[in-house]
Amino acid sequence: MIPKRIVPLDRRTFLKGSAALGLSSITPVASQAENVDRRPSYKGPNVILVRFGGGVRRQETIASDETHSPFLKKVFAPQGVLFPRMEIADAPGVETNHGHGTLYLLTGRYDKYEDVSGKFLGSRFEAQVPTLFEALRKQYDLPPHRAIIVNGEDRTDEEFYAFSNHHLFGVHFRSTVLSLYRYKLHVLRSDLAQGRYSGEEAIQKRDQLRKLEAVDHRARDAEPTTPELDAFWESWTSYFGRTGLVNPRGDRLLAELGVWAMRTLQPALMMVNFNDPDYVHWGIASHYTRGISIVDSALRRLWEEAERLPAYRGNTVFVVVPDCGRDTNPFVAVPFQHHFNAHHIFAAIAGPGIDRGRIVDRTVQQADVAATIAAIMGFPMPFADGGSLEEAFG
Amino acid sequence: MSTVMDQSPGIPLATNASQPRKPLIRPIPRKLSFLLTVSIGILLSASPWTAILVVGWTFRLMRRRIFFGWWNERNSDEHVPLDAQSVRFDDQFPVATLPRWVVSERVIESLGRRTPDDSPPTRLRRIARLPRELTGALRSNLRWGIMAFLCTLILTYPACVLWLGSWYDGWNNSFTKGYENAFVGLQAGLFAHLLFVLAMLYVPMAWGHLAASGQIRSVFQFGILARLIWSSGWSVSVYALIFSMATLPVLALRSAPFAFVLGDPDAWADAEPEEVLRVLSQYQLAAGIYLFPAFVLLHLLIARIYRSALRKSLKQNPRLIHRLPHSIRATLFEYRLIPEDPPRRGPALRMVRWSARSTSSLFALLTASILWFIVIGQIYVGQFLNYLPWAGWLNQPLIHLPCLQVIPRSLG
Repeated sequence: MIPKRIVPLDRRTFLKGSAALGLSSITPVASQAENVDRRPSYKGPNVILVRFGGGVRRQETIASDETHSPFLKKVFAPQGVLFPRMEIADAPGVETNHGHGTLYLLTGRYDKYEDVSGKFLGSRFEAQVPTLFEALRKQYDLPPHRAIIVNGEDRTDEEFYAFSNHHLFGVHFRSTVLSLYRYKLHVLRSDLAQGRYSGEEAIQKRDQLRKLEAVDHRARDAEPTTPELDAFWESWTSYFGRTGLVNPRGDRLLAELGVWAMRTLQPALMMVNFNDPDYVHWGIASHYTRGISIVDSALRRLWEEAERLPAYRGNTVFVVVPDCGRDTNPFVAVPFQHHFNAHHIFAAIAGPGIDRGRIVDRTVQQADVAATIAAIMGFPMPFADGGSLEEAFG
Repeated sequence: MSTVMDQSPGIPLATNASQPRKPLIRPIPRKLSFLLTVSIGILLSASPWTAILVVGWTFRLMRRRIFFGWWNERNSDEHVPLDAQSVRFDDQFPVATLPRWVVSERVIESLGRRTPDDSPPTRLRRIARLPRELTGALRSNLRWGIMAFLCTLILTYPACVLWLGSWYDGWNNSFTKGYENAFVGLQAGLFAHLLFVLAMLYVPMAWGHLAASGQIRSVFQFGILARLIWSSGWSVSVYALIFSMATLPVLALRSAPFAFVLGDPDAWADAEPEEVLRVLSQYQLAAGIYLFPAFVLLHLLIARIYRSALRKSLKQNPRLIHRLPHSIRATLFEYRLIPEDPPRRGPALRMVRWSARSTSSLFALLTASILWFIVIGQIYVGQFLNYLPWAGWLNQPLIHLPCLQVIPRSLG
């Protein structure tokens, strides 16, 4: 059961929080630091945000009896609240893309984003308003390893959505990222520190590490790692080795990382950026349906792990929502090949404190998800445009 | 359908070349006949099954153009029309400016052809001949279409099938993150590109040779065709450039359905399959307005290049004539187009000429190869925008069958 003191925030509380946060922007930096030091520790419910990416339609997930995600539709959704008519706003500048959708989920705003490196079709975006992780960690004394993004290897740009450029938040309140990229960084760092290489090989490896680190240019001021994270990767490498060829792959890897994180790092807020269904861009329709099945299995695995682990049992809310939808184009052989104009998505929320077996038949917004998670965890999202999905709370 | 309508007025028919016969049916105006013929071509380009007739028709037209070109260059003072001559080559040679689609080009004279004992045919014999003559052009178009398509298939399908396999395997491997085998799809794809470029340096000239000879085996006269390609110089590059430009509208046409619902994604979400099929069928038909003329013009262009290249090669090496298929050899003899042995020049001059020609031909081929890569790029971009599971790899509309094939299989 959810602890009584963790009551979802109502709008009034949000407004108060917003006002307080707004005022804090004009107070001296020193007092901010003092406020940070006086933060309470977080004792609320854990939230696992499952990004049912990359881009899925309602038809193959929640709307049809012949669903490719049977766990989501037949087990998970009936235990919580389903929002089958969630939309990504159809407005100028709002894109139905993975990077955009992820940031809409994390910030609660439909901001316009452009790749900061100017790369064609790049999605190296930088949020201008705080993400869920920053807001959570600013409100509570929560170490970085308890706010986690688990990211895939296909969309490395999304590794760097861990914090915004907002002057009151930023890198010091960022989330920790678990991914193959971070794994490679850890292996290189530890190998070089332990003198595993010598001569020309050591120079090459150092150069390789420098290049990998340079990708995360905004995090230069921050500590590259933490003891908890190092311990996590040490444990991972001692089991799966250092080649990267033994661990599970694709979205199964994300599930594995998520489960390992729950067992060792025990994140209070964890976002898992699944992405396999997006392979359908290359035209092979079965990659889409297969990808959905893989994400569905991963969701079940995370759910079962949450039921098994004492730190999560009865104290974890799952929020499942796609980053974007997919096109429904009857004029092409693969109607869902792309997501140029794919605003129709859904959301399912289940866990303690969440209503059960409810289907909310009204149009809601993807930007509402951030405020809803903030309400569940009890921190303000002052810059989010979306409101909390009140129906979730019964 | 095309009947006697597209018969050229003023060109005497063959049997009695000196006594032009008055046509039994009054021919329709030439412009109308042309429009009718082109309209039928566009209609036939709407389906891969009928597009085979377009291929056959195009090759028959190429055949006529090649011979017509040589006939114009002939060394003779005779004033005999081409069609009076051509009847001696074979009875599939189109006598009209544009070949017909269904009815034989020589239907009237064939019906009135004298019997082996040189007596005029009886009424009963004329009636018995009627079905065959009424479908003569259709059978020719089909026969030529199958022949040309098969030859193109044999030469280009190693690349096309490898594309299909490498794309499928490559992305399947990527989906399952088979890092250890990542090279397979990629390298197979690159090898397919190489095969395609090699094929397309060869295939167009082989089309010309096939059209002129009418024999499948001529397509595989690799030595002769390599010599023709080499001696055609920059023409192959110009052809590749024009071809790669001509495939741009094909890329737009095959990709466009992906954008049909972008404006209002919900407008067609609940459409009945019959309605979608109707729209796509009309679209595919409309695409023929570009595909048919583009297919024909590209083939006529290579026919022209082939015609010149063969004569150029013969000038350089008259002994080549003995290796040519009979129909070509006989025609060139008849038109007295076999050059004398070229005068022998000094070794230094020969060396200079050979070096200059070889360098130019080499650069021309390299340029053409790069330009064929542009065609490959268009195929890949098209597949990314609107994936056509089989046809996208196995039918390139300006190379194989001039049909778009964008109707999803699920719609029928």
